[in-house]
Amino acid sequence: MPKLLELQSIGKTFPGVVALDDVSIDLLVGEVHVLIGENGAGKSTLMKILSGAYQNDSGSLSIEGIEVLKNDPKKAEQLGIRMIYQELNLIPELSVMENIFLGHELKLKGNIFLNKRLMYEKAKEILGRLNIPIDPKTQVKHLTIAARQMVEIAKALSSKAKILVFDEPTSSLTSSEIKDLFAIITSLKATDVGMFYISHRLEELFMIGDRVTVLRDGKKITTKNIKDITIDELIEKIAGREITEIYPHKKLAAGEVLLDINGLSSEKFKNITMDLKSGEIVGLSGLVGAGRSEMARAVFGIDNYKSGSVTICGEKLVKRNPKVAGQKGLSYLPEDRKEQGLALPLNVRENIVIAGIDQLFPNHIINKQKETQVATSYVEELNIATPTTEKLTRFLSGGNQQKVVIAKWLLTKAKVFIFDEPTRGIDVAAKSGIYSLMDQLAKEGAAILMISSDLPEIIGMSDRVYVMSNGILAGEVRGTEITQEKILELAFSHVKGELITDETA
Amino acid sequence: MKQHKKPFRLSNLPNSLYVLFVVFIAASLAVPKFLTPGNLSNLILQSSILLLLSFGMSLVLMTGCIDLSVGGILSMTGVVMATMLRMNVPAIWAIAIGLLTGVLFGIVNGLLITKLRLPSFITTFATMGIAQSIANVVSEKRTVYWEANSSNSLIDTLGRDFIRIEFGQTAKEVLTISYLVLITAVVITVVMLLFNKTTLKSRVFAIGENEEIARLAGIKTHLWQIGIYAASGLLAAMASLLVLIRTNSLQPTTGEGLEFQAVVAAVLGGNTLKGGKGSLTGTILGALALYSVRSALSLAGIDTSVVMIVIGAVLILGMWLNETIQKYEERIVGILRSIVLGRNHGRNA
Amino acid sequence: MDAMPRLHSILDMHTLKRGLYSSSIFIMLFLVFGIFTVYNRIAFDTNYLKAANISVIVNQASFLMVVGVAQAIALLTGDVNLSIGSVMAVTTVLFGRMLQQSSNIPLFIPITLILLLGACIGFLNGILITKLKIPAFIASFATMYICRGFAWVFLGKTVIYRLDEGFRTISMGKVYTIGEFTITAPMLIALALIFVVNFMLTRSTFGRKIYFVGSNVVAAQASGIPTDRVRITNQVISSFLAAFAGLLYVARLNACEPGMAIKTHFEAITVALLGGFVMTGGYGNVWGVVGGAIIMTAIQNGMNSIQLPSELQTLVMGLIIILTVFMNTFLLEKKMLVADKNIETKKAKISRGAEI
Repeated sequence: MPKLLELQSIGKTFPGVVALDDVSIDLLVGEVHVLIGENGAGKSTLMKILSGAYQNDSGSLSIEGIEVLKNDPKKAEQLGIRMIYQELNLIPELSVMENIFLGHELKLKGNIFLNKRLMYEKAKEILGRLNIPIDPKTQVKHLTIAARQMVEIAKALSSKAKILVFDEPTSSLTSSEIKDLFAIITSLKATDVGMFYISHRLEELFMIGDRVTVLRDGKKITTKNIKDITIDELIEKIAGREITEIYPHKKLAAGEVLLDINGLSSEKFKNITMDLKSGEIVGLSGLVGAGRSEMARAVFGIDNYKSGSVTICGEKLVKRNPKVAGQKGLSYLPEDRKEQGLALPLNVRENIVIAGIDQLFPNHIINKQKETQVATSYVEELNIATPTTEKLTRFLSGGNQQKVVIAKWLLTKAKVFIFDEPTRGIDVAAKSGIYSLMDQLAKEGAAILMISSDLPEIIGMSDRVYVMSNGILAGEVRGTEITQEKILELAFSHVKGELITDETA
Repeated sequence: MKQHKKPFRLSNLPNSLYVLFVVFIAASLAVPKFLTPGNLSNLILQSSILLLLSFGMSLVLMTGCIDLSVGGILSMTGVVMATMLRMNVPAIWAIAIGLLTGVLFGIVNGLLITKLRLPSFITTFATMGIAQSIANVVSEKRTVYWEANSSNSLIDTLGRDFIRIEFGQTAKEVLTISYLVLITAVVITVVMLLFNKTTLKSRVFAIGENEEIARLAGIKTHLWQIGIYAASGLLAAMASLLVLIRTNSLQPTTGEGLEFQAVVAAVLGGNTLKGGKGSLTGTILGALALYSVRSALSLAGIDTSVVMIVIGAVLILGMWLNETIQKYEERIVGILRSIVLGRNHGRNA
Repeated sequence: MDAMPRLHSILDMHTLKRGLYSSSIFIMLFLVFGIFTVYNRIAFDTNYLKAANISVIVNQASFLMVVGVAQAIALLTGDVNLSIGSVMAVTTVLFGRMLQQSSNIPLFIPITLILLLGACIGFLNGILITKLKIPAFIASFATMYICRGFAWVFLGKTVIYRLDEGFRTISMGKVYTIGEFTITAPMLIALALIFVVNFMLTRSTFGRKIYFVGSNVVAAQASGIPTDRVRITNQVISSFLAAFAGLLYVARLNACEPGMAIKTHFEAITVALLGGFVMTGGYGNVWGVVGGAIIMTAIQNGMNSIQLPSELQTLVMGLIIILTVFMNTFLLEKKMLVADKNIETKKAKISRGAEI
């Protein structure tokens, strides 16, 4: 089969971190080429170079034998490269057909008026080809995530796509929806479209992939035909080292209950009951949209909840009052640390001190010396890479930013930590630092709830795992039961399989 | 193929429909002069000005921006046209130049916002002051008059009535529809045609929803944004033409405060400040609703200052309605259903 | 060997650049004064820089400073307050009314009531913004019309003249004269106000919370800061200061009228922006308002001196706003980058020093 594209010796460096180092990969016509690796291995960076969002520092990109210099999103569009991201590129208020033809609408006989009938027919045809049972006139806002994804694919096809890149396409789909997606992918193969498929779900790769490439720490480890490799070999290549090395947490005997969540309900989740004991790291797993972050925010008090209660160290916590929650020893580290965890324009000192500022200065007047002293002590303790506390947090690397957020809560002498995606977007080297910190906190008696979509991380770090599915607590797994299969099974257990919803999502 | 029937949703109907409904009923009951043909004719004529401004405002809002300078542009283009008429420039040229001024000013707005990446609120806030300032300086802050003669007979013609139906003897029983209303109707129809039958709606919604997505789809977002501001300026200039024709003169401060009313009308019509969605029909109803409130109040002899207060309150109400109707829609429909159908029917559709 | 590195650091591009960006307002002041001085000398052979003239400018500017601070505080959390002028109007109209009806009341009662009213209007703004989730510029736009409407309702087309003489001197009196330069009460009042506000913003925990909310309201929430309360309090302070400014204006004009301060919503924003504040919040030092108010007054005063029509002043303000917003974003970015470079080079020097 002829080569559709070739990326040769691609190198890409960001300030402080080497994202890609001499990575070479190619894509054949009609092939599904799977890319796997841990978070931060370089998969999305590589694909962003392909889509023109980033420029590679070294190496070359060729499409159908012709080298492409200075790729940008427009060029990539023209070359037939389409990305299907998790955050979909659709306009909710417009209809399916308007979205499909966005930017290249069909017009009447060379004038400015839209040929709506033709667009409808053509849209129907494309959707039909992929066996997608959606009426083109439906507004996208009424569609479920699965349906929207299908519309994305149809949209890509309508504008002569040659190369599709799927980025974690199944993270929000039910098993029947996944089957539909795979059917579409198979039919795409027959039309000579080449596809990159990024996913964590190892068993899926064996169902849909032709070849697989493993990335680790920015380097390509291997490229093989799916037929020629087993799951265990794959896992070995992905991790590259013993599981215990990466995830240092050794399960201890848990102490008393520090956080007790009872029957918590709101619009996004129902009847959540869980507890956290001192010395534990408890994982919270589930699909995107299962309601985990929403529940965490409600527990901490940023959002409201309708019924149920939260008790910390025996004391009942008032609703919707993050200030009191913080004072009582609860802490929340949001999943988007840049947008939600830090004030990027402010410096390290200001960010560390903010949550505990009233405890530090009970008479409401700030003493700059004391403030700097305290902040510096945390910088040293957590090994935050910054010359002084005056450095603006926006200039820190992801790992160090996360450490600042952790320092912020250490200052308040928090006893319960809720981490939401603690290592997202952090390179592998820094990750182990975060894991050691979490382990140490647990050793010192803290209770940790770790919300994560990274299954290896959940399996490696948790003493036990709660799984949420579509807003409901689907179950709890302990000990040897903590496996990818069991967790996924619970995660899918309450997800519906419709295409059209009555909610405007 | 699963056919999707659009379920009946309260949130699909613009708030302005209710406000209009409520205001009309309340006004007709409270103010006897309200529902007369004479008053209604006046209502339609006067609200045309607001209508044109609100149309432009809605388009800008849909792209996620705002245009606070429309009031200033109205004043400025009005002064330009009136001054030219006074200098005996033929009406048709005066009008053309006036409209062109509006377009150019709109383009300047668009350039500042797209190329210099300035936030639209503060930029159009500033250009509002600049436009109004120009209007004041050129007119020396005095009302501009012109002599009616052959070169500007067009103005007079356009001010006449197109339809006149007499139901009775007194002025209030005469239904008149002026050419100005006709012009407005034509403009509105053209804009709505373009909106629904060309790529205008998709472009505007896409830009408002996510500029990145629009750009990736190959849409020249900057050009479109500038174009929308130009359209807003053009519509403001047209509105000022209506004022000029109707009053046969022009006060330089005519436009002051109108941008606020345009926003209120647009918001009542279901347009949001975030953009990416909206309705032009809603805006029409919104402008009518707002003007009806003004008309009813002034007919009842209530002072203009109180009207100011009411409009401010209406804005707050409109924004609150936009928020809450979406949230509590199901509950409201449920309540309405059980009232209308009786208790036995319960909630199941 | 030691002297060399120190000399190098003074001439260091980064330190120079940082000095440049921070003192941009003084450069502007210098330019404005420079232009008008030259023009006046050439066209009218008068000295613009006379101490007496400067004294007038600073006195006039003091009023703008109060208004500017009112706006700046609101801007710190990203919530612009367009209703400042209208609050001034409605509170002072009521004040005048109160004085008219019972001329024996000790002054501090109506003053307190008026300030309280201002605070309440601010509270209303705060509620609209935080609980009804109405964007600040729309909410304050609405309050602006509502307050102005009430002002006209209370007083109609009349004006109240000749207020209490004691009141006038409190806020208008000349305090001290150094040569040709007069220090007036308004100057002192404005100065004291800025001192107090600056202390609150830079040294108190509440001030720190304000900056944090302005920088990133979501992160502030996630850190346990009661963001709604902070924003509401800011609006309360802002409108409180607006009422305070109203009293100062009324003392100067010696009259209360509903149509007062009609351009103030423009002026307040211009002064705050010139003072280095940004519309999105989280940034700005209140001392900058001093410079901003002086620049604006100098421009107004200068335009009057070269006999430019007053109508053009709004136009000039509009241009200033556009220019300043553009420059503020640009400068802010540069300042941050330069500051970071500074920190990193200091670190490099320390480690180099250690090696030596």
